[in-house]
Amino acid sequence: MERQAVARSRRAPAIRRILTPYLFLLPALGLLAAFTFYPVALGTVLSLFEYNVIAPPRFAGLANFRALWSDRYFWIALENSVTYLAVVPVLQGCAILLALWVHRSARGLGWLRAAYYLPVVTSIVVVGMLWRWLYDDAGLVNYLLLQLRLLHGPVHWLSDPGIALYAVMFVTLWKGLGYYMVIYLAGLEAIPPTFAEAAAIDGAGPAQQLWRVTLPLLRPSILLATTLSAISALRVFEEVYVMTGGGPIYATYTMFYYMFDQAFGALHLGYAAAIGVVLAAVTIGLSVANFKLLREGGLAYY
Amino acid sequence: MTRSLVALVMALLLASGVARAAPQARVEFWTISLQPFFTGYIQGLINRYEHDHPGVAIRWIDVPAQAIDQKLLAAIAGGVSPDVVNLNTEGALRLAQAHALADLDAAVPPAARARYFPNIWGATRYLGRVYGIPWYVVPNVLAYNRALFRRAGLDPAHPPASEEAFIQAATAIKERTGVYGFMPNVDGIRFLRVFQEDGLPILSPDGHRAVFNGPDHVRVLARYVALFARDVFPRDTLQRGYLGATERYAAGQLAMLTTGPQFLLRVRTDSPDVYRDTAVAPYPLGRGRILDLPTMSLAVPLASRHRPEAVEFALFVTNDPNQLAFCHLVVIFPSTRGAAADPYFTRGGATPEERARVIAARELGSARDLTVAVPHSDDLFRVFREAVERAFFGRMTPQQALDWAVGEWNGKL
Amino acid sequence: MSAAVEYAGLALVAAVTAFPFVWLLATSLRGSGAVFSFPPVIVPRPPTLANYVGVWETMPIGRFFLNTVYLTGMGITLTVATSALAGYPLARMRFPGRDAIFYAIVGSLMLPQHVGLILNFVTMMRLHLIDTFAAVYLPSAASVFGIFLLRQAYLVIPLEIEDAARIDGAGELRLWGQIMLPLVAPALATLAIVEFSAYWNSFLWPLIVLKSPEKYPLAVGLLNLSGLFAHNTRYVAAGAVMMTLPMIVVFLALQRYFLRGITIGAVR
Repeated sequence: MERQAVARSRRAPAIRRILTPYLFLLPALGLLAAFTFYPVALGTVLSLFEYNVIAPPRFAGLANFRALWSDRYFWIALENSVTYLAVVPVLQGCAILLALWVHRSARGLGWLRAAYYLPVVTSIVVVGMLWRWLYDDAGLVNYLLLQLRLLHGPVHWLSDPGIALYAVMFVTLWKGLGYYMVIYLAGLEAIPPTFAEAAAIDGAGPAQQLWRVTLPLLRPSILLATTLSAISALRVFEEVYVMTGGGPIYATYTMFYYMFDQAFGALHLGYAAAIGVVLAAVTIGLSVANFKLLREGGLAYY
Repeated sequence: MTRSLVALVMALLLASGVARAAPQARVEFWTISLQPFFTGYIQGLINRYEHDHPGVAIRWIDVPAQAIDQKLLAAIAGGVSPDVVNLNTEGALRLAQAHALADLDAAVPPAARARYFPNIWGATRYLGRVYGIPWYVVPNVLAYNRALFRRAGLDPAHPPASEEAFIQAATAIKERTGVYGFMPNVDGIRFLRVFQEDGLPILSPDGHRAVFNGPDHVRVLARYVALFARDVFPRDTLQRGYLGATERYAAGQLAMLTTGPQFLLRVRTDSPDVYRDTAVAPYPLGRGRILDLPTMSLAVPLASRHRPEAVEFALFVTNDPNQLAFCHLVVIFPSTRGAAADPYFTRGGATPEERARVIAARELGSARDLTVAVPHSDDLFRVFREAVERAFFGRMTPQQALDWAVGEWNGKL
Repeated sequence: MSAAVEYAGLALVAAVTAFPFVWLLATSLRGSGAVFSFPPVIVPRPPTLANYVGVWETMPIGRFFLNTVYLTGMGITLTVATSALAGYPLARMRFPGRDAIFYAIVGSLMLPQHVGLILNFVTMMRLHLIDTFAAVYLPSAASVFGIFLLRQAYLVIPLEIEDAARIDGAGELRLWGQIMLPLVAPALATLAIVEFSAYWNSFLWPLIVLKSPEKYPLAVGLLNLSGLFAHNTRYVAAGAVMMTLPMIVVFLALQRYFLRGITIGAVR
């Protein structure tokens, strides 16, 4: 009798201990299941169907993927999206540098940080409009570069097929800088100053401190930021939609743009889902490579 | 006693409930970007209709133009389709291809159909059936900046009356003032309209073959390509379309604007100084003497649960007096003969706007919406846009570009 | 020397990121003319609030503002709460399925939700939530990014702190609520800042699930404005300034918290 009671009172906390982590996870997982996992799973299945929302879906096997293989706009979009990835290393390099500077010198200068963050909080509708004016033949960018004698004549930033994609990429860089700076700042704040102090006592110069202490300790943030940045580069849509409409000659037509066109323009939802599956494959491949690359180096976090 | 009184009151309450029955049909009505400027007008229509039809309640939802496609698809997928939805011809044809819209040739009685101009009624015809009740049409007019005309040594009293004169004036203005003369409507698939305005066919008569690579087609495209290469019109013409043109015109950086007249109202409120110098003239017609009549229609999705009520409400919105009242609010043109016969459209006037209105109204009986109705329109239009842009950027000769596009089209038609 | 270079660099970057916004502000204060004046106008003279008045009269900005505040507030609260809860066991507990759950969560970030818009609409239909505020914020209330960020933050907390608390006899919930949560406050503030602009600016989804214009957030109004006044840049600029200013205020207010750092209380 007494032994039973003891066992029960011991068992109750045991069950609670087993359940605790799941209870912590429940709200997030429930919401993700309903609004993320379910649409993703169903969307993936949909890539095997012909579906236009109006008629019931019709099974099509791999027909959508076969059609993709011989679809010139799919290849154009894929190439542009992969090119767009070039924005990631540049953006992350700039953001890290900025975060380091801000972390060290600008502690009191809240307004400076706010200035960096301005583009992040500005609606993409406004950003696109703003940069369309700035990039105009008679816009501010050409004006400044001509005044500084860096150009001989105006550049057609958004209407030259060879330049437009890079001009849009610069806007992504401009808009993302503050966002990633915040992520890196949070990472830097989490590094106890004792590490830097210890390194300094060991006689490490600032450059060595950066390479041997700060950057390795910042690795979780770098992993997070590069992954996010690559995913959003592959998914770029709104900047393009507002600034160039995918042109000229489809020079800025990206995977996500094509997916959007196929889904809402042409009502080919199954086909759009197939594009999405390819996009997902590219994204996963890239993220896994990124993960492998950055987790190495003896950090105990993973 | 008390009990019978209660029963009496109950009976009265029930009776009044029956008399003022809750509406049996809730008709959802979607418009595109009509709020806030026309809120009063549309709400007035709805109030009158509900008053005359106690069994019907209208739920009006105004959707921004940028989101209509997504919102409509989501609603249809969710089984909560609107009952009457405002669409342009391209949108209506696309949904008609997907079998999402009710056949209105069948749903509208011939007597009611006869009220509309037959050519405008046919704007949304696909495979022989019509999928939208035309609401109003918005033909282009020519607006021009008289001060810039004078600076270029042109006579503001004689604006260009043909496509040919239009191009010459634009070239002269650019050469003499440095300001762009025009932004022709050549972006994307709008070049299909340019061909038609010049009297050139897009498809073979049976509609099974694309034929827009004839020598005349090539000549028209080559001409605009040469103008583009000489910087007679700005580079972003190909991407920004009429929005870019209006923006430039309102800034005094464009001498001539060919656009729907409703944009002029905005120039008036936003740039009064430019508007003071603005005169309006009829659209300079191409060699084919055909005026494009972009048409706004009211479609009834097949998924609507109140189809008869929806059709009846759409006929009410587009009836003569209601269209006429709408045309008085903004420079648009009616799709019905009765409304177009009103003195408002036939009596000339002193101002250029009034003259332009009369001239445009005269075309209502013969002109039509030049939107091309083809299956797989999305794929075909994507190819066409690429071909035209390749020609403009010198990646292909006009002949190569059109040959390529025609080949692609014929592979899918 | 190097400090001077750094400050110069910081100021230059600030100029590049902020200048377009200064110009936006200038445009919104101009009485006439458009953006294409050459050379560009930086100081409008005389400045006028006419565009703000015009926008105010065109649409119910006050109503939109309140809606946005409510939607953003609910959204952030839920996102921060779910992330703070979910990140904890993923970082500091051992239990069956932990890694699988973590990879599933992170993996979903990589799968594009191509048709998510439509499927989520159908889900909202089934839940009878169409045209409610909940339909707007629920789909993004659990953030993969947030869970990831918080997991990282919990991971770097030294084990000694946890052990000390356990020796004091703290239960799991108390350990989390009283010891761990304050230590990840900077990450929570970061998440709040990052999510703020996402909720504040989202327009497509609200437009699809809401029917009543009186429930629209500011971003939908701005979208409307940019369509209706595509050529009147001064109106759009005024609308954009009204939309962006509250976010700058929030950023300035919150950044103090996330920059205060965990180092102050914990490690020393």
